[in-house]
Amino acid sequence: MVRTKRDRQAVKVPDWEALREAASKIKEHTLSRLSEYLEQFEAHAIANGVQVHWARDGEEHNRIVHDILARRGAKKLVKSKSMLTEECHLNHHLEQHGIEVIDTDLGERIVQLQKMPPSHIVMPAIHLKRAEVGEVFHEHLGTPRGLDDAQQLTEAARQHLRQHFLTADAALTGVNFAIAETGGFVVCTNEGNADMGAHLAPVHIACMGIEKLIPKQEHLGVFLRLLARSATGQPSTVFSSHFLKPRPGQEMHIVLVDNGRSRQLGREDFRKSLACIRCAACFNTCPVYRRSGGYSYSFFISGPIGSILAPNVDKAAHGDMPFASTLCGSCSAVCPVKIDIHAQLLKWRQEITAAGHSPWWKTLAMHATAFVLKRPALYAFAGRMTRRFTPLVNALKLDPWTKARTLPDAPKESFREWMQKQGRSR
Amino acid sequence: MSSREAILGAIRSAQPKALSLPDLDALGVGGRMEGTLVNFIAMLDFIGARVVRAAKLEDATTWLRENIPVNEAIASTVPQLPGTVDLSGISDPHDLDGVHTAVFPARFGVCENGAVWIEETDLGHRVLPMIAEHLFIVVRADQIVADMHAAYGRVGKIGSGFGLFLAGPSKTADIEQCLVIGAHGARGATIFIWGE
Ligand code: SF4
Repeated sequence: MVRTKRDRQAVKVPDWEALREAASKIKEHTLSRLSEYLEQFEAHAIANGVQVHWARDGEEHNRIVHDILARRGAKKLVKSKSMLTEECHLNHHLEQHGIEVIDTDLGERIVQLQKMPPSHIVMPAIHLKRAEVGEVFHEHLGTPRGLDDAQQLTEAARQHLRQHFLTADAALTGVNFAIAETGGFVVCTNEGNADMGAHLAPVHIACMGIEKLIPKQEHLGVFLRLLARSATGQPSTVFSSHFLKPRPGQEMHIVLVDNGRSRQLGREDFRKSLACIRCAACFNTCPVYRRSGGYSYSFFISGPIGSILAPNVDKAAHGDMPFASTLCGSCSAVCPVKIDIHAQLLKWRQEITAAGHSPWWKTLAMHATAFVLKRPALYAFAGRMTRRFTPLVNALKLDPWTKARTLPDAPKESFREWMQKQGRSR
Repeated sequence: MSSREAILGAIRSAQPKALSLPDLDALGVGGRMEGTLVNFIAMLDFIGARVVRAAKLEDATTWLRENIPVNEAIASTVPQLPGTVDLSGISDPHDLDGVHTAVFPARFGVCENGAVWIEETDLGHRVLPMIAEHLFIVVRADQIVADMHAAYGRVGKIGSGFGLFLAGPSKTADIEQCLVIGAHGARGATIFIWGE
């Protein structure tokens, strides 16, 4: 559904492919001179009256955010969507220090109330049915039991979150794009939650990965034309807010986070993954994600892009992810910054296997498959056996896959047998 | 070593040799969509904004009188269309909660996506376009650009500390992908286009 909306919008833009090419090239250029651009960005941001912090890893990021809040005696933080803070487990860290964290994106608030992580980077609660949201709201917001109207549920969340916006001591937002030449940054939302938080609270903290940089303001023209169309199939997000200076009396902070990004930058085969603008177009088109959902992946960013980012963080823990793909290439075909996602998936498979992180049974199975495939007679025999014993596999349920699923009936004859018959009848 | 130095050092040794910036014109980016008032209005309709056309800015007075219930708070930064809230007397943006309609100007509109560009200096308070229940944004009919590239050409250097592209009323599709208008920001946006 979102995929169709994206396609409909993309074809309406005559220079769509030129835009993708431009976006890809701008990102490649920026990554090749990232250190310079970061210094430029920092200098301009400081000149604008913004305080800039650097964090090597998630822990340092969390400490910086907590220090800012503690200095102001802040007790309540309203947060708009930021996958970076998910990555760093910021909420948990702050809650341990007695700070209340309110996620304000509607989808994120729903999963936060459920004490679950987002299952999608743009639509965090996409896996839930309306009635399930109704249950959550009934329990936490006191809406009538059984309420399952999206309009009424949204209204309840609006009222509930507005109270938090009006009483928050600080606001935290993500960053979609940071502009080196101005020191400013852009935050895109449809709900207006990032703006509600940032413009009301006395403190605004913006957290960003170091790869969010672009050289010039005019480049926003390229990226904003691609982002919303790729993400939700809208021509633009409702709010594309350009922050440069704190408002009078307000404190504004930017936290620049590395957390493994400089390492990924040094890996030539995987460097391009840092160009990602987190639109989730690759999720929405992925046949595996669409069937299995975000919770079936082991990393906080799921889908195709998550599967090439995760092994950078921990090859052993997320070694499975690059294998959960058909390598159909649909992700690379829709990616607005032209990341060669499926090619990188294949490269990760090779690296993970070479590093010995592939389980022994997989190696054994691969060798067995190779052995059989090299011997046509054996292959035909194996095929006959499989066709005969499929009902047995279903009955025994030895494989976890068959616990909740039934294998389809095997055809009576193989393709080869069918071919031979065709030859005879002709 | 500070974290700043450590990170910059790691990046310096990891980044590949410098690649050049692409030439956007040579790639054929921008300038390929039509910037007409008709298309702009059609796009506003598509994104859920309401359009009111008039010859003169003053014509908005009638529309506001007929469409906003009496006793509701109107906060306006357009001198010709005075509101009921004295914005100059408000120093804390929290006090704007409860504003029924915010009236303010946009510098120009963008045909390809229905967005309008708004500068902080035209708002009084940055939060005005989000905290109000409804928006009434005035823009001149001859101030329409075709695409976002032309738009950034117009934006130029942002002199103030904040500016935004606003495209229609706030919305969400976070519950079962059902589109709902009116998330945290305004529930409705009227774009008042005046002049020839
Ligand atoms: S990899 Fe490409 S398609 Fe996937 S989220 Fe990132 S930018 Fe979007």
